[in-house]
Amino acid sequence: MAHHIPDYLPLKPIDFELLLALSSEDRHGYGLVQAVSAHSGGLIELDPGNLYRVIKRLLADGLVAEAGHRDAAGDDGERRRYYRLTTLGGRVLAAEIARLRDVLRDPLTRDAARRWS
Amino acid sequence: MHGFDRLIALFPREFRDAFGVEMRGVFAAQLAAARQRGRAAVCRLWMRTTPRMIGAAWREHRAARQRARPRRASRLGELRADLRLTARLLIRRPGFTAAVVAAIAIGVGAVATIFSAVNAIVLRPLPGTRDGSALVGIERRSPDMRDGASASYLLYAQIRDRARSLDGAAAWSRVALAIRPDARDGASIAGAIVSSNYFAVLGVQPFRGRFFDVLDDTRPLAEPEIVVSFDLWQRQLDADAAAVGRRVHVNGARYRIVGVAPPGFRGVFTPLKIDAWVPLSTQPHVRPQRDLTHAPWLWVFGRLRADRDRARAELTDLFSSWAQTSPESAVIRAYTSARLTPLTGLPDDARVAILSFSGVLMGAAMLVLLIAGANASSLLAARAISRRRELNIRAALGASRGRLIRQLLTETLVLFGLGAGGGLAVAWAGTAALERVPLPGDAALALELSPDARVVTFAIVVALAVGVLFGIGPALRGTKRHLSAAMRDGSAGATRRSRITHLLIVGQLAASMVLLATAALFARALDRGAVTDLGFNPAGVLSLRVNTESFGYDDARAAAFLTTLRERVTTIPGVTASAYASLLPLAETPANVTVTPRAAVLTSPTELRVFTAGVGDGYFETLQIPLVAGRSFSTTEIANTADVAVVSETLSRRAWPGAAAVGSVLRVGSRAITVVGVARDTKHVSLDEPPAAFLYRPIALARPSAVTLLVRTQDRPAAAAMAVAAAMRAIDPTLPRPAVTAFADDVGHALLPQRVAAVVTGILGAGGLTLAAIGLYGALAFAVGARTRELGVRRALGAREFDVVALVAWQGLRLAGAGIAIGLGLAFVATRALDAYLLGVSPLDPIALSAAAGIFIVVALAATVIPARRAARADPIGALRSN
Repeated sequence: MAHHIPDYLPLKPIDFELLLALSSEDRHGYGLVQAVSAHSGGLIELDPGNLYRVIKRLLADGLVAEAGHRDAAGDDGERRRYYRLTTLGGRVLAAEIARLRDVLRDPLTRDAARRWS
Repeated sequence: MHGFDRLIALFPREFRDAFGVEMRGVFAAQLAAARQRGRAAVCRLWMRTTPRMIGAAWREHRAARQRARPRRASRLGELRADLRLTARLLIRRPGFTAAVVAAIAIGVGAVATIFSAVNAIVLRPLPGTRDGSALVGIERRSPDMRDGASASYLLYAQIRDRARSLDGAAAWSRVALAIRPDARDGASIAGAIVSSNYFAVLGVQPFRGRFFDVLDDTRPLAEPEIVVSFDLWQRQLDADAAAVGRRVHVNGARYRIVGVAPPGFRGVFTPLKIDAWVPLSTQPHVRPQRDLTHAPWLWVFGRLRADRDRARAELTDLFSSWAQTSPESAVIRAYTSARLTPLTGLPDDARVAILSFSGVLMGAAMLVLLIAGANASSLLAARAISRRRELNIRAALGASRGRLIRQLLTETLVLFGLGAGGGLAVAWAGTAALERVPLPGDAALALELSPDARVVTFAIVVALAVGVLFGIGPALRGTKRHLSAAMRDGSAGATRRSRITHLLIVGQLAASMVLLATAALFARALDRGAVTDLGFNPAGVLSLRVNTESFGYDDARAAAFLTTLRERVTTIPGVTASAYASLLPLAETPANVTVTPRAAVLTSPTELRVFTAGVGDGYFETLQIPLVAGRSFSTTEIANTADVAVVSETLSRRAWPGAAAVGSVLRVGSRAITVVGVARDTKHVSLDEPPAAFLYRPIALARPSAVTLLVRTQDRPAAAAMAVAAAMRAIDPTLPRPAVTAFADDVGHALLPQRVAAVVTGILGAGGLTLAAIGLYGALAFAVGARTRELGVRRALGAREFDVVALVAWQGLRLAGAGIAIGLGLAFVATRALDAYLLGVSPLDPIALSAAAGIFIVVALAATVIPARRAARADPIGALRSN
């Protein structure tokens, strides 16, 4: 099935953060919460409900996939479900990054940054 | 964590199953991290997470509901799901399903049976023909179009050769044939003598062999040829392919079978099934009394090339110029108008008569269908209430109202579809029963009424239309939200529902009252017809049609045969009188002839158009027709075909008002005829006709033709019938097996429309009343069920059993009263359309209407009292406790 990448753009900020968090390594739910929190400087603190609503959507869109269960690193000894970025997810993420770069390079953006900073 | 589990429980089950454990794991990790930072952090985590979880759960529910709604692409899948659900529901409630399907089957069956008959008789084109719509029957008519005449061969030849607006014209006439393969018994069959281009003009293709070569019709063939029907080929020739080319005895001579007509093709006149065709060139042999010059005896049809108006104009011109040179009588020559009618197998006037008569029956069948529809609607509505819980749950789970309506409509349409199937089965049985109704005239008369594709389509369309009409109401009402609450409170919703139910019940009762009134009126007409004074007495009289022409006899032999036959019949024990007649009253339509009375006192020297028939000596004695003056024919007068006549009373009054008819003279054509007797008026064509002017002439036995032998027997007519048949075969063993019938049966056919109508509307009335009574019973039983508690309270407070019965019965009788009042009102209007078929019984006949009302009241009372008694018997304490 051929996917038309621009159909997924622009990504919602939360989707962008999750895909970004998965781009370096596979993560489980709490790992995602931590990565997003760290990357956003504590601005985005995800609750489990909304975290998994987004994951469910990204799974349905085929941007992420399950990467199997692994033992939890924590003390409770539970097995956790890991998620990974799919090829499509990677391409969408790259396209979004390129788009954001264009936005930042745009004279209008630069002008606004200069004027209001 | 316990609090968090509660938050998880808010999510849709599907979501919980997929992510519940994971969410719990994430929160556990978050909580652990917060604990390390202190109580305040734990508190902040909870404060932040709780509202977000609730919001997420709500959004997840909304998304799930949206997913549950139909997507365009899955309509087909939804329909399949609906059908599966429907099948399960219908199988689980066999009683309900059977009740609705039976009601619809009765209604659709009634309509489809009548439509099937109309379709077969009036609408279906002639089978086997090519482009049947271009075929027209061509007739000469009087300028006022009332009378018509057949064509002579020369006139037909003019039409064939001169009419440019026609793409060919053919001619035919009936001929009685006795066909006998070698070494077999012969059979009398209905044949047609046809122009050689007959099959070519019709565009019919032979099933086997060939049809006649298109040759000069006036030149005899070297060897006479015959084409047989598919039916005859199977019946008499054992469907033997080698039969084509074989020779058979036809009317005493040998003919060669050249072809077999395709199945279903039985000539161009549907009620008369033709079994064999011979070419016009055989006329000197099979119709020796006719000729191929001026005798008018042929029926003409053609294939239109131009439009019908141009053809009519051209043929009118042709008839006008023909009239100037024709040697025909002045009356016939005045017939210069051309009438062109679609060649559908029936004469135009017969088609109109059948259509209007069928219209009456169709109206009655439609009433039954409406009753059935209303009945099914009540059943569906009652079930929609009992299913409200299920529907409410489905609505709560996100099914839209449109979705539920579609589901209910699917169920309704499946029920009505099953009903249509049942209705077709009813129609098949009904038409089979109608086909067995004996029809007047020759044995060859028969109709094929069985439903075809058009009837099947009609039944399905009607059933589904009625299904939508009566199914949409219960579906709409059943799916209304919050109605369950309204029902519990017994407020506006319940009142509205019961009002609609009552309206449906009153409608059903009124319609069945109309049906009953119709049936009662037809029964009265039948009764009136049975006691109508015919003017003659058919009881105990046998009739035997003898066609000496088809035996191949010449004049002398025919006369000798008929004389011997009558002599032998007279000697049969129990036979008291016998006579020959050229036609039978009420069984065959008499010919008419123009007479000029020559009176002693010429008041108005006018021509009179009168019915006529040839009768032998003993005719008036055999049929017990009293002579009011003069005498009947003597044996010598019959033998010499003397110029004498017996006239009917009406003719006597019209021709010689106030003077004695006996001894007066009439002119018929060029002959002067002396009146020797006056006979009492009799019925000739129909039971409700006014007395007709009738001229009895001595029958010409010396000319071979078709005559009927009438035999009056004293007792044991069946034994006498066998003796008569044996007497005929004893004279000539090669003759076809004779068919001796009871004349009373032939006469009984005059009441055929009334009999068919009485039986059909009687059955429809009984069906309609049964359905309406079940509807009334059901509504009362439902009302009693809903009022069990109230009735229990009344009983507990001291109401007697009678009071409770009266309370419920009053409700039922009010409905029945409204039904009978509206029904009688409608019947007053509707039965006016029946006037033509009632043989003089008034459409407002008090006996018929009160009989109908009586039956109605008895049935309505029964349907009312049974649920009322049951209500009264219910244990009051139990009823109170159960609620």
